[in-house]
This record gives sequence, structure tokens and C-alpha cells, in this order.
Amino acid sequence: MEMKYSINKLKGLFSIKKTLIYVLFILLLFIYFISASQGHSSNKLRFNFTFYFCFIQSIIAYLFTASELISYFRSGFDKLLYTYNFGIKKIIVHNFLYTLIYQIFITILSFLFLILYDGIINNFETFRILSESNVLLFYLNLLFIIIIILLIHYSCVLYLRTFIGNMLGISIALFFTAIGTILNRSEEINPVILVFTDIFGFSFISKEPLISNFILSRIFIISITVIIFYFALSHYSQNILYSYSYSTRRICKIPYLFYSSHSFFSLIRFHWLYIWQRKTFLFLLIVLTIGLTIDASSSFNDQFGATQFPSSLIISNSFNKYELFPLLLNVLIIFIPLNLFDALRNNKFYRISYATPISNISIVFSIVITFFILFILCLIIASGAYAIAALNRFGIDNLLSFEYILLSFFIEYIIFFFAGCGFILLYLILGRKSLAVVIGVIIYYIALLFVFFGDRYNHNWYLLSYFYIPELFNSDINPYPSIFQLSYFGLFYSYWVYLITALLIIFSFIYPRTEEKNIKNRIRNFKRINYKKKYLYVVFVPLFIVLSSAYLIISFHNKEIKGLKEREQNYEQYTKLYKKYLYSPQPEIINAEFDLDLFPQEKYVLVKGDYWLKNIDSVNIDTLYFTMPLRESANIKFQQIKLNSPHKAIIEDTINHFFAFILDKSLKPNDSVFITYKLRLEEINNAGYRDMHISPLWTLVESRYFVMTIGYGLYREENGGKNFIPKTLQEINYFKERNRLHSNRINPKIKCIISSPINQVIVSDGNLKKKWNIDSRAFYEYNSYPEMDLFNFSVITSSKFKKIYIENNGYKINVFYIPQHEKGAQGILETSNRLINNYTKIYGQLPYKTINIAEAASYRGNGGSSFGNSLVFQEEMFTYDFLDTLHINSAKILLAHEIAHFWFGGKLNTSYLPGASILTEGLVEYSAMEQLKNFYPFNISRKYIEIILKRASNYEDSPLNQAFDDKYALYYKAPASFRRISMEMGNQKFDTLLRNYINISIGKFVSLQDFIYYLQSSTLKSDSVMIDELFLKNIQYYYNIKRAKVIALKNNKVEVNVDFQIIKNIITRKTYESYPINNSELIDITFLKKDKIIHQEELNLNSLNTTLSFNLNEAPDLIVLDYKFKFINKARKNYFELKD
Amino acid sequence: MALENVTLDIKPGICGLLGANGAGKTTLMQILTTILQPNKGGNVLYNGKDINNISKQYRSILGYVPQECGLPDYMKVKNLLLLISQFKEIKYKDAKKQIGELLEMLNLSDKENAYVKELSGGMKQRLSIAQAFLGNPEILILDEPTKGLDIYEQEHIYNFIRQYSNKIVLISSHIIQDIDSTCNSVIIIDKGKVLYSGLIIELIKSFEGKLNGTDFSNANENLSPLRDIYLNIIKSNKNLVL
Repeated sequence: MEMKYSINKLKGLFSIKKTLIYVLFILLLFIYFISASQGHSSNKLRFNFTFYFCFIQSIIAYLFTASELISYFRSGFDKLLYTYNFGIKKIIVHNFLYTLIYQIFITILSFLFLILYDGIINNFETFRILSESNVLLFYLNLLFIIIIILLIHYSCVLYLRTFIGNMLGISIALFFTAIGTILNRSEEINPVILVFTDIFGFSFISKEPLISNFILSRIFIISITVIIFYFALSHYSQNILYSYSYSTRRICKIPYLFYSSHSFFSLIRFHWLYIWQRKTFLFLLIVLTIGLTIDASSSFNDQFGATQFPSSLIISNSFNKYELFPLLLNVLIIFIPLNLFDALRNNKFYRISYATPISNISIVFSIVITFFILFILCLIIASGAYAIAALNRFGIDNLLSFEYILLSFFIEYIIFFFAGCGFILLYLILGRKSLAVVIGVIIYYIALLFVFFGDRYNHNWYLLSYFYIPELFNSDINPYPSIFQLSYFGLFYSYWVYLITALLIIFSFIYPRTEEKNIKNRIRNFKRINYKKKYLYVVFVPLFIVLSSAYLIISFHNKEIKGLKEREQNYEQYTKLYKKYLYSPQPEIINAEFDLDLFPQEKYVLVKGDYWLKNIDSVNIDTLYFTMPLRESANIKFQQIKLNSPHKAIIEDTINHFFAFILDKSLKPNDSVFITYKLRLEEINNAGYRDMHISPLWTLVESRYFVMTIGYGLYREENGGKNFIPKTLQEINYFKERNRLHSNRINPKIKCIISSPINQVIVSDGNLKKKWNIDSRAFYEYNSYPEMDLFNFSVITSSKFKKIYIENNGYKINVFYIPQHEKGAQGILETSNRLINNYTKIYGQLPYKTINIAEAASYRGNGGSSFGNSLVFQEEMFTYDFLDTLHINSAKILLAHEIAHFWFGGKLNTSYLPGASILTEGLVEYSAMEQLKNFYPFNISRKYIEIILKRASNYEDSPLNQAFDDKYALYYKAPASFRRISMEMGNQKFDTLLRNYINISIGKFVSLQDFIYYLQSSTLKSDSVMIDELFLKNIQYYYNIKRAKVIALKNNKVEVNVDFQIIKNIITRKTYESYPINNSELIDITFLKKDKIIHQEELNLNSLNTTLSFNLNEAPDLIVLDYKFKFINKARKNYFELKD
Repeated sequence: MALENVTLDIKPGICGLLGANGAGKTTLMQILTTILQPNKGGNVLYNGKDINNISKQYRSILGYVPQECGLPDYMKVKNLLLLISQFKEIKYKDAKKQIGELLEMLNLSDKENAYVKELSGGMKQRLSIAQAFLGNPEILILDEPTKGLDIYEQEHIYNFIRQYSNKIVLISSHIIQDIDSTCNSVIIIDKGKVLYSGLIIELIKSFEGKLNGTDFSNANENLSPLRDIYLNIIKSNKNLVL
């Protein structure tokens, strides 16, 4: 009982709000500690900023305390307390003491957690560093802070309200984060993003941060935003409410103009007058703008951590839905509308209508409109923030998709708005604001789960989970819309606003002011409204409802959406019905001709395909089977399918697109048959995915949309949402089967005539043979020479393309770009020329001599893709500065990656067996890493290599030869492993081996087993053991420098004693067993002073288990183990900083 | 406002402190609550002891309603009262019981869990009074407890105070009717001087027949003779000793 009593005392001195803010601040600080402690020496800066962040936090905490004290003094509460034996001194001491106790308590908790965390992750190393370096300093700073507070508290508190203090704290935090970000530009991760997305820095540890920490991160983010914005916005919205409920006198003071008309317009004017009078709201806007701008700016830093761009659009790149949604959800959706609506329900507007003859309806309208204006205002601010950041980064001329960004943002805001309306409805149903918020938030989390699953399977669930908006789902988003189009979208979606308005009006009558329960009074009030306007309302309410409902009904009925479930059912049905034809012998495609007519304005494509099929088997073929796969981005409609030989159709399944024909006369070996088919691609949803997009300004069609395949389409099972090869198929010699099933054992000759409106420039795979115009259409004929896989054939058009090219070393490189992107295009041209030269020298000549690189405005994919002899990149790629040699540029890495695919993936064909993709993605990434040498000095490129190695160390699954499409295996572990082999074996030797392997594998489908066998048979035994460990076993190294000490010797020399730790483990079914270190495993130790190498030597890995002494000419300030990054080190700390 | 030569003897019962704005009422009350200290030579005795020498014991039997009490907005009513109970060193169990009773009496039971900022002006004033009455103090000093309240609120509060006529209750006000209807004795103060200190009945009696046109025997309840007496005393600005 007594304890409870003390808690009450504590409550008295500390508000829960303050406590929560403390906790959150400390949490943030703690997160920074963790994230900062994970990196290498360059993280020191961030670490320091973290420390100052903590410092500021303390200042703010004490300011709160001081502000409360002052508020006691100003209000006279102190006098009251004094009369109860609680003097001023006591009050001050108590306040500060409790603040300190709180801080210490929370800090201890944080550190306990840190110890735990650190213990699990880093074997207490980080904690040791922390305790040695900064913790004492932290408490010294606390002392300093108290002194500062004594000096400044009075002046601050006199003007600052507590909640402004909160906002100030957040602004300062953002400021420091921004500075940290700017100074750490080359860091692998953006600290702002880190805080909002990956608060515990799990992206380093876990393979799927979104999966493992999804809920945790969201809870954190939503809590922080709720706390911050709740206080700010409730304060703000209450001000508005009180302006109505308590300020009738004030209204009278406002000039007659503002209330004389008695219309809702006067209310809106009043409303806004009041809002602008409120500095709090302005302050909030400023903070929001600064915060968003900082974040947007920092997000534009080169994120070289991955070869892939985060996304095509800057907007979704920098502040995507995961980050922004919770923030804006709270601001726009929960608090403003709910507070306003609450006021309405609880009759807080009573007095104004009591004092003046303004009706309820006017108030409702004014709220809705004010809310909508607020919403638009926030939209403008946020978009403006991005605009500033984006323009600053790219310049107006180089940012064609700017409007598109606005549009994307606009759409996202619309969704917020709908969600806000949903909350209001919830409130209406539940009758309690708090319950509505709780349930709303739960629903939100469920929605996020949909996002999560949506990302894995079907992206569109994300939209569906909020509100079903068919136009968004099937949106024909023009990448370059006009202002009119933008307005159209805005107006189009505001049907919802009308609906909500109408509902609000109705509910305001159902739940009337308490003083006027009498229906007659309500009617009387209604009669008071201005005669003309009254009927306007009467007409508008049903009109809104009818329009919205009609719109909804029409949308629902007209746009049938096939979800993941339906698609899977479809696959199942297809497999069930037709898999029996899997082993039926089928002819091969010898020649293929396509006529593609693109109609971007009308949004459809007409396709005519002609195949010459030849029986190259030794048996007669009686039945022919054809499949046209179902695709997600368009509806493929069969118009005709015809054979030139007499036949009988036995299956014509237009749902599953499967056809079977019995030939009257069977196809003998070496006999040919001709088939022709016509398709219409329609209902193209332009979702921005990699395979299909059609709009007047930009079109991309991949061959998957118009190439019909022969036989049973096995790929359907592959792509059945699961992304792995069915077990049954692993047992058969699958790559041979694939060859036959995909009809490309022989690469056919392809001729493709593409027509489009006359203003379009068409780029395709193969070589441009000729072009001509007929009427208003342009025709381009492309031939594949040499022959290429049908599925590598793509078509791209854009009316805005300009072309630059370079001829060098027998190659012609064309870059097709949107005119504003000339600088980027030049950079791409020059860089790709260098890359192709380098690769040709290492891996040999390519079969084709023309390479086309084209821009695709909002092409998502992985930022770019490599096709037969063409590359497609998103717009962002063309806005990078390719001349920058000081910062690792993700664009360059991506270019190096995609160009390398011409060799690994193009020239070297891999099977679909487990591990085979490592020979494409792994080798490509390795090649890109190696190419960094040619573009950057080693001290810059090693930062990128370090990231790849760090991520590689997180791969803990089955050995690489059993990995399927694991991102960490393909993009990190595999290239890091190839790099190790290359370093051990000698770079040149490894490259020669690769070149020879490409040459001996032409015309084959290779597997990882083949390659390992090839490598092992061509190398020394020690290398062979290493290869075995890298690919067939899962070995992990843990090594670090525990401590180091410098002892001064005579003659100005020094002795450095270094204490190492080394563990080598093998992972077998998630158990770790120690594994012997080979005597041949050498590791370098490097001593640096002011970033310059003063000594470097090679050590046997085995020798690291002891303390070693090194005699040096001068004292180093940094010791790095494995400076060249040869090993994949799980301990992730290969350096030790020495202090003076 | 400085007080000069003030000599008072306050006995148990409800005593009104009457004076114009700036007469020195609040100063006197702050001296009585030990917030202010009298000048050299001046002292306040309680049971014969100087309150500044026994301030801790003295304050523990004190209940005070300051004129403008800024109760912390962010606290809940119940928590605020619990907090003050703790300063008054009341046991938790007793405090809880007393709080319940006081809130009931002051018509605030339904606001037990409301935040102070959510209360209306009248409610805040009632809460301010509730905190003063916590712990059943011997001395209650109420500095304009009904300031800014409407007539119903005022009546409610005075009704509540009337129940404590066995304690030393000092109420300051400049509204004569309130004092007349609630208090049995009165201190009239003006410009730092005490003009009268004693029972109201005696004061009225002493003026009987002295004021023109006043018939006290038929005095209307709403028209207190005290008003005229008060004005008369103030006008003469003489210490009235009966």
C-alpha cells in the first residue's frame, strides 16, 4: 500500500507523458548505440553524434523538469505545496532528483538490454568499447547539463510550453541525425531510415528484416508517432474546438465580416484565422517540413549497399510506405478527424450555434472542408519537401518523373484519407474514440500484414487491405501526367469525400446536440438556414451518396480482380489437366516472326506470331501442344491459332491458354509445320513492374507476353508463387528437359516487326534491320543475329528517345534516353564502354556487336535488367553522377552487374538446378566488385566490399550448392566466396579459368556442380579444399582483435602487442562445431596511422589464437585484421582503434 | 499591501475577512500560512507559540486555498488529492477514504478520474477547496474561495464550508453577503489596517439605529445591514473597538 502511495507521489511530480518521452528518447539513443556499435571505425562519427543526441536528450529532460517547476511557481502551486511542508528547495530537489533517478533507471535498463544484445551478437565486445570510451563521459556530461540548465532554464521555460519542448527535442534529434547522415554519406545505411525502418539494425543480422522485425519495428514507430503527434495535434485540434466552444465573445471581436454572413464559409474563414493564430500548428508544419526534407535529402545519398536500386521512383525509394504510413496515419487519419468528429458528437460546437444562427450542417461542412484543406496542405508540404530535396539532388531538367512523384504521393495521401474516413466510421459504430483508435490500429497492423504478404506474393493486397480502389489497382498511371490529369485524379477520388460528407451530415442529425433532442427543434434549426443553401444541401446529400455508390458498384462489377488465390487455383487446374503431356515429343522452333502493333493511346497491343516448327527427334509426332502463359500485367486474348497442315483441335482451353491439335498426318523426323497465331494484349494495368507497361510516353513489352511455347508449360509450376523447383523435378535431369520444353534447344532466328505511332522510337533486342513509316505509324524491323533465346527478346518504345552511341573495340553501344537526361546518358555510355572493354579482355568477346541501353521511366524490377543484347534501366539510373569517384555509386555497380550478365547468363547458360543461379548472379556480382578497382581507389571500394562481406556472413543456411534463390546466397555469399578464391588463387588465374569455362560451356546448360568440379580439377589441392569449404560446406570464421597495446621502445620505435581471437566453425543443421584451420590460410594484419598504411604483414590464421608482438617504426592509431577483406568474418569487427 | 499594527485574535468558528481589493487580505492570509514572514516585532501565535518557530507542526494542521491556485493540469483529480495527502502525511487508506468523502460532498465524485485541465472553473475551485480540507485540518484559510464563480457555485461552496464551523476557518472575500451568510465573526480590513475584528451580531447590534433609514429588525435576508455598516466603517477609516 505504501509503495503505491509513493508511486502516486512520483506521478504527481512526473507526468506519464514526460516519462514516456524519456523512455522513447532513451530508446532512440539506445538504438543509435546499437546501430553505431555495429560498424567499423567510420561509424565513430555516428557514434559521437549518438552521444550528443543523448546529451541533448538530457538537456531536454531537465528542461521539462524545469518547465514544470516554473509552471508551479507561476501558478502558485508551489505556495500551496509550501504550506504543506514542502518548500521550494524541496520541490526543486525532488524534481531534479526524480529526473535523475528516472534517467539512471532507464539508462541502466537500456544498458542491461545492450549487454544482453551485445552478448548474443558480439560477444560483449561492443559493450566493452562503450564502457571504456563513452559511458563515463556521459555522466560527466550530465553534470555539465545541470549547470547549463541552471543558466538557461528560466529564459527557456518562460516561453516554451512542454509540448513545444517535445517538438524541439524531435527537431534537434532530426537535426543531429541529418548531420550524422551528411557526414556519413558513404555509410551503408541511412540513419534516418534506420530509425524508421530498421530500428535495431537487424538488416545486418537478419536476412529478412521485414519479416523478423516487422511487428516490433512497427510497434515502435507507431508508438513514437502516437506519442509525439498526439500531444501536438490534440493540442492543436483542441484549440480549434475551444475556439468554438469557449470563445463566442472572441468571435464577436473578430470583424463583422467573419461571421455576419452566417454561412459555413464564414466558419471556414474563422477556422483558418484561428489556425494561423496558433503558433503550435505552424510549428508542427515547420517540423514536418524540415523532417521530411532532411529525410528526403538523406535518402538520395548513394545507397551502394546493394546492386539493386531500392525502387524506380525516388519517392518510393526514399520514404516508402513502410516508413511514412505510420507517421501520417497518426497525423492525418486518427487525430485530426477523430478530434473534430468527437467535438461534433460531444456537442462542443454548441455555443457557437447558440450564440449565432449557424447550423449544425454548416459546422459539419466547415469541418469537412477544413479537414480536406488540411489534408491538401500536408500533401503540399510533404510533396514540397520532397520536391526541394529531389530538385536539389537532380535539378529540374533532370527530373522528368517529378510530376509522377507528386502523383504517387497524392495517391498515397488519398489512401490515408480513406483510411481516416474509415476511422470515423469505426468511431461511429463503436461510439468511443479510444476504442476506435485501438481497433483502427489493430486493423492497421493487420493491413500491414497484408502488405507483408502482398510483397511476397501479390503487391496489390496492400491497397486492397485499406480500401478497395480499383483505379489504383488497375491504374493507368501515366509517368508524365499533366496538371489536368493530376487534378482529374484528385477530383475522381474525392467522390469518397462527398460520401463521407454526406454521411457526416446524416449522422449529425441522428446524433444531434444534446440540447436539442426534440426533432421539432432540429427541423426548426434546419429551417433557419439560408433558403437557397438549404436546398443545395438537400440535393447534395443524396447526390453524393448516389454518385459514390454508383461509382463503387460500377467499379466492382467492371473490374474483376484475380487475386493470388485465383491464380494459384488456375495453376493447379492447369497442372492437373495438362501435365500428362509433359513428356510428349514436340517439334522445335526453327524460325519465329512476330508482328507487334503497339497502341499506347488505346492501351492495347496486337500480336501476330509465326513459327516454323521442325521435328528434330527421331520419332513421329502426332499431336502438337501449345501454351500461352497467363500473365499478371495484361489480359492475353487469343484471337486465332492456325496450322498449315490438316489437323483436328482436341483441346482449345481459352481460360488456361492451352491448345492441342492432332495432325492428320504425323510429323516425321526432319519434317516441318507452320503455325500462326494472333493475340490481343489488353487490360494492361501498368503497375510499373518489369514485364509490361504501355502508355503514350513509354512502353515496355517483354517477350513473355507474346511468345507462345510448345508443349506443357512447366514454368508455370516454377512461378506458381513459390519460386522454387518442385521436388519431383529435381529428380529428373531437369536442365535437359527444360531445353526441350522451352523449345529453345536451338535458338531460333527471330524477326520482329514492331509498329507504333509515328513519334515513337522503338528499341528492341537484336539488330535494327530497317525502319519505315506508313501513314501515321512507324515500323521497325529487328532481327536476332546471332540467334538468341526467345525469352530474352524484349521490346521497348518511347516517343522521347534520343540516341547517343559509341563504336569501340568492334562493339557499337547505343544509349536511348529521354532528352533531359543527356548527362546521365553520357555517363552510362562512357562507363559501359569501359566496362565492356574490361570484361571483353577478361572473359572474351560477346557473340553480338550491338548493345542497346534504354531508359524506362518507372521501370521497377531491380532498377535494371539485362536482355539478349539490351539493357533496360529506370529513370533514376540516368540521374546519377557517373563521374563521381569519391563516393561509391550504386548506379555504376548496377551497370557493371547488368553488363556482366552478357557473359554470365547470356554467354554462359545455367540450368535450373539448385545453386545454378550462383553462376549467374554470384559471378556477375563478383565481376562488378572486381570492376570497382578500375573506378575507385581501394580505400573507397573496400567499403562496398565490406558491406557485401558483412551480409555474406549472415548467410547461415545450407551450403551454397544447395541454395536456390536466396538473395543472401546469390548476391553476397557467392560473390564473396568467388572473391576469396580469386585472392587465394591469384586474380589472373581465376579470370582465365572463368574465361575458359565460358568457352567450353557454349551451347550447354551448366550447373554449380559442373563448375566446382571444373575449378577443383584445375587448381592446387589447398585451393580445392577451400572451394569445398566455400561451396559444399557452410564454414564460418569468427575472428577479431580483442585488445592492443603500444609500448614505446628505444630509437623511437614501438612494440605493439595485439590480442587476437579466432574461431572457425562448420554449421550443420543449425549446430556449430569447430572446424580445423588449414595451415595455408593466411590473413593480413595492417597498421594504419591517419588512414595511411604504415605496416602490413601476412599471418597464418592459426597463429591468431595468441598475443602477437609487432615492432613498428611509429605508433599506429588503427589496427585492421584482413584489411583486404579476404575472409567472410562473422564477428564483424576486424579493427581496433588505439588511443593516444 | 503592507499590514500595519495588526492585532487579531481568531477563535474557532467561521471568520470572514472583509476588505476592498488591495486591502491586504491576501497578505494577511499568506502571513497566517507562513508563506510570508511578519516584520521584526510582529508574530503570529498559535496556542501561545510563534507559528514560525513551530512551522512544521503548524502547517500540518493547516488547510489553505490560495487565491489563484494553478493546480497541475496534467494530473488526475484523484492523483492530485493523493499527492497532497502525502504532503499532509495522511495515511494512504485514510486519504483514500477522505478523498472519496470530500469529492462526494463537493459534487466531484464523477470527476475523480478526470484531468484537472478538463474541469470547469467552478470544479477547479471546488477541487482547490477539497485539497484544503484533506486531513481534517484545525485551521482553514480560504482566500476568496468563490472568486469568479456563479451564484450557484458560490452557494454550494459556502454550504460546504458551513459544516466546518467547529474549526478555525478564515474566509476572505469582498462580497459582504457571502460573509454575512456564512461567517459568525468578521475582520474588516482596509489599507493594511484592521478596522474591526469580532462577531458579526455584535457589530450589527452596535450600529443598530445609528445608520439612517435602516430598520434591522425587518431586514430583508438579501439586503444585509452589514453592507451599510461596512461602508460606514471604511468611510470613517477608524478602528472600531466595541
